[in-house]
Amino acid sequence: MLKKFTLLAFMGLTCAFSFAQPDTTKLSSFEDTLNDNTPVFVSTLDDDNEGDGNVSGLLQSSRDVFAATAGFNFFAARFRIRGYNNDKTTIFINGVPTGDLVTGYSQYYKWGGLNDVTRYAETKKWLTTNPYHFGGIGGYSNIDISATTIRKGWRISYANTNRTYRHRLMATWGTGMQANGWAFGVSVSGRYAQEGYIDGTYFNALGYYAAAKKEFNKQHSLNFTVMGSARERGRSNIFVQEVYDLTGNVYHNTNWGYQTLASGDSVKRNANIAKDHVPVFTVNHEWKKDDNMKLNTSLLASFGKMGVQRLNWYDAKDPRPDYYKYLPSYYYDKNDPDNARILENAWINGNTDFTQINWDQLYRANDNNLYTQEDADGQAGNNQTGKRAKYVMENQWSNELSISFASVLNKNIDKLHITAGLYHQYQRNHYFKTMADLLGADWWVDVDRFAEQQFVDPIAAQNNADTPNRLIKVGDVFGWDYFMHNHESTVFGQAQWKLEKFDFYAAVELSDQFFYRDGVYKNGRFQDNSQGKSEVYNFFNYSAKAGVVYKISGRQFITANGAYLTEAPTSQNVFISPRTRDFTVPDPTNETIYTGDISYILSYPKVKMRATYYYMERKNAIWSRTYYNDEYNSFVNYVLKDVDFWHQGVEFGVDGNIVGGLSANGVFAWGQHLYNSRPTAYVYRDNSAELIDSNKTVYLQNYKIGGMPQSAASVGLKYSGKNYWFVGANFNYFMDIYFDPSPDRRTEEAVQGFVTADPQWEQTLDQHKIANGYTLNIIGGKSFKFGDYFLSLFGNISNVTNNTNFIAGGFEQLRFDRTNVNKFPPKYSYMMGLNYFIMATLRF
Amino acid sequence: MKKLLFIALGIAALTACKKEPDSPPENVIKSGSVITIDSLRNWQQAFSPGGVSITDTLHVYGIITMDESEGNIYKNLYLQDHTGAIQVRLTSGSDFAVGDSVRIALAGAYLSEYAGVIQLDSINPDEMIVKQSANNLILPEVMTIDSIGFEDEAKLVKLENVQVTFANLGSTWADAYNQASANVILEDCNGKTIIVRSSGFASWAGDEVPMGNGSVVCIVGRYNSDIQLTIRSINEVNLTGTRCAGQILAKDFEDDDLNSGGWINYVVVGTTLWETKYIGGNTFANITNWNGTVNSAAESWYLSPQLDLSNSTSASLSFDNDCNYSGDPLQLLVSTDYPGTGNPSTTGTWIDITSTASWDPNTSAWGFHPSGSIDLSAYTGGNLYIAFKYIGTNSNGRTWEIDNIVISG
Repeated sequence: MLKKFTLLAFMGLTCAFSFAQPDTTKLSSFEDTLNDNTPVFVSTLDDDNEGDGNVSGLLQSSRDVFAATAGFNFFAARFRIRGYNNDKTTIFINGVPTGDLVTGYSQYYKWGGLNDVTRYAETKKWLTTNPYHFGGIGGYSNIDISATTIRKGWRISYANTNRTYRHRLMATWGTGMQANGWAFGVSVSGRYAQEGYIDGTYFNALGYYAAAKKEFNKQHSLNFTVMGSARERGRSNIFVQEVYDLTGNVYHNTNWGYQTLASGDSVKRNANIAKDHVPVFTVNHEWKKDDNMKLNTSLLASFGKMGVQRLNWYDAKDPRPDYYKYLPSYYYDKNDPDNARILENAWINGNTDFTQINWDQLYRANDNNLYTQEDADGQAGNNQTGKRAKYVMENQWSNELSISFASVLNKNIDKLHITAGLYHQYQRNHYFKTMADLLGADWWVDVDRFAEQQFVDPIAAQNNADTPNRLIKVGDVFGWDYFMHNHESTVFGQAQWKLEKFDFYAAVELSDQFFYRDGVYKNGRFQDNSQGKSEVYNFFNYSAKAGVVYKISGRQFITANGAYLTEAPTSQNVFISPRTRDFTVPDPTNETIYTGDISYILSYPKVKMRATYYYMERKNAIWSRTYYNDEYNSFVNYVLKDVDFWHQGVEFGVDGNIVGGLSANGVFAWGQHLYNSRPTAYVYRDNSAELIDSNKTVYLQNYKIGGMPQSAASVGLKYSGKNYWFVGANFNYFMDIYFDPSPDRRTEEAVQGFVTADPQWEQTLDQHKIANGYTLNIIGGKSFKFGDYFLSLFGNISNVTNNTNFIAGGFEQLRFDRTNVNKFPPKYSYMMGLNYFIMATLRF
Repeated sequence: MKKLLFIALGIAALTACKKEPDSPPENVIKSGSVITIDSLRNWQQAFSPGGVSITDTLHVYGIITMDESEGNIYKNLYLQDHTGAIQVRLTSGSDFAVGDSVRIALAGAYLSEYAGVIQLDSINPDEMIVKQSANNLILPEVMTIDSIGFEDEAKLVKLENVQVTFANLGSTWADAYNQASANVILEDCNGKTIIVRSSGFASWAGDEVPMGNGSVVCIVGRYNSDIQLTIRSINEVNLTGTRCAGQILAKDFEDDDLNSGGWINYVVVGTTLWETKYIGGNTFANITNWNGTVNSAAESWYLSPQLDLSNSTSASLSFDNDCNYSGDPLQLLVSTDYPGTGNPSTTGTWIDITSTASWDPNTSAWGFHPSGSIDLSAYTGGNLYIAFKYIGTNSNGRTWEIDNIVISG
């Protein structure tokens, strides 16, 4: 009774105070460019999080029924456990944290497809002890990539799916630890789709892994591993509902179009291609002094290329078919139904000149644009005549180089277990553009089209003022060129006591992060603050956590955890428009996080159950985006300071045997994930950094964090047969899904001129809610043994009922026109219809 | 049991702290600050002919009865509610559409009068007009030319059984070329008339007025002592019926059909036919024996249907004509005994009345010329046919155009 009372009191407190949570709107702000005034959204159908259908490696390995079910069954609906972004879960490789220092996010893409290697990650969710490092409040996952994790022998598998890729072939070979003290492991994984689930998308990836480990003696061993994944993907995009209605296709993709080749053949070409290859090299040394002391030291290096190839244009109409002025609604809103109907017919009839990129038109525009560039390449009198490109395909690179060092000591002293560690990471990202394809033109001129319109002084439009009017040919660097340097150093210590009735732990971490920008180009608009090193921004932080497990019996537990952290803002959030200048949000400060959870756990052989209440509060976050603002008639940098978040919720999971091989599971997640402050907005003109508006109040308090179901539930049955086979099904239901609120709509200025009785009042302020949705998933498998050969078959079918009405992700457009508040409606994507993954694996 | 209790308590505690989303400070309409259109009109009339500057936070609601999309008005809207209607003058063009229900914030607006029209002036459409909903259609009030008065100014009305006056037939609604406004007079069968004024920017400004009788939907306006109607959309001008008694035949070729109404195209010599032609918003009948290379001998008749003049004591004919190039004149003939079919050059007795008409004197340029009123009274008391006879030779031939044939009797 006392326990319950305590719990209630605890919950009461959480209501009285306010708690917070992470920045969910961070879709991909680095893609947020002048070319593209809405943040690029990563579709569910995309591969960015390596959600390749073979079950998120991270979550699957968790034995917790809640995490396992949520990981597989809630994935497609973008459910996020506790509403956290993935930066709150630390991914270690051989004990070295691998988060991206620029964004804070984990970087699964670096080893995408190497499931044989990464499958057996050691995962613990949420606030917990951590034998490697302090870790995130969402838990951690350590991928051991040393040669001894590869099972001795061969493992060859083929998978077929209709998701982002179609085929996957994997081969893995290991020696295990041999008598001579050496172990070797090799794995190769190829994934391919000429065309993925969505029209015009494609997927090519090759993952590779090689490791060697030498055990010198019982105490010392050394491991060397290299792994990487080279990928190229043709991507899809998402739309306003009007496009889905017109095309009748919820998986429409305007990124591709037909291009007529010299041979006369017409081919599909994608205008949004992601390429990455950032291999990881590690050396790590294990020193087992004795059973009570272990010291692991690792060095990890990672470098490579990561870029997006996309269209850019100059003095030409927007080539994107879904540009708002190319949709019928634009003309209907202008009370011009005649033109609206012309467009409507073109879209409805699937005229690809309207519904897809019109490559031939782009080539024609370039071909007809004979132009004389005076004083080309910065040389007076150097007049060059040629076909000046109106449209090009350019590569936007963010190439990473990072080096990390981590050392961790684990030591038992009686009932006390001590862990202490050091970690340092240096990461340098090189951001620049290269010309990928001039689409038939002779050259592109390296000037900024928006600046050209806005400034009288011609130098202002120069992206590289040291060489004005530079003519760009394929392969040339242009546009922007700068480095972002990030350093992070931490020390941490943790103590655990295991007693008969109680286990305790407590951990602290001290960290220092600093970063700076180093510009290569002198930008014509920012000649004094674009070239060379910026000021160094340094942030010192500390974190502490503690927890207790009360063992009611060997089968029943109560656990409680709490943590207090301060976190540095990421360089991505601090720098505003780093492509053009050294400029930051005013007075960047650390974030603060409070979090806690309390759980009741049952662990019987036939029934396992966990019920948890959690809260998390995050304060003083920064939010910044660049987009076209209709109120100011300009591209602006819109910066919010003091964005607070809070999360609270209940997690419940039960898994029990009913009879024989039949078991049932149920998972319920009730969450409340909210904005918890009225942030202050600062608005800068992007082309001049002029502060146009400051101390603007954004009324965001209690808006829902969008882009995920706040709550979800799943019930399932599983049958395991005697002859190594199983089949299971889960019905999943997703609730309370919202689009993340666009801040500028929630200001006094946005509703100025409206009264509460006007429909615009609610249309502007109300958060867009998405209808609840469901899925039914089936999973099954069977294993065979033929002598020394093991064959296993595995398959899953997601969304068996082919529910294509469920909006699984989206965002409110930042663009907003007060004279027509619905002019820029939300963009969103629909969950994939029926999709499957089947795999056969042979082991010997 | 224990777990259920745990969960139940948990959910109870959590839902207890349901949180309402934030909102900027609310702007509410104060009671008494909404006024009707008739109050606005009365307010202005109290100060007439001066104006009233509105400084208080007041609002008027109404439905747009005319918008700018067709070009007949610009930077103007008409607003109507259950009490009345008013012209709204904007500071810039707008995209509001007929049927939009709107709220207009009146602070900063100006009430004034121009040539007797009450105007709600200085309205910034982006800042002061807030659309509430779309497609709220107000039906026009059916009125007669007689019953429309100054008190109906700005109101949406419908006139039935009206037609463009005989004098205005053949003209366009306005001067589209010079983008100048013009008047067209409508009449009813009792001879009551009313002005329709159209802007040279209206999308139908260059269209020829229709000849038939029917209905017209329009906004009532005023210019000092004159009532002026303003058409919202040419689609609401349905003048396709039979004209009032007294005019027995009219053909304007706007239906692009040479034979409608019983007219006959009869080739006696050669292969040259009368054809319809569309130029500059007007359709007319056209004939030429020049095929682009050579002239060829031609005799082609354009024959009217049988006209019953048995009850008439007087009759007249008028048409517009235009000719170009050298060759024979067009002949105008009448017959009282033509049987309605057969070769007219060998059938029936035809009387040449060419000389009674006025013909286009300029044979080297385009441009219609009115024939004037041709007296047909000598042929009343029975059936009558009229015919245009075209003659061409192998060496020359004119191009003739005919339009707006009206026969009264």
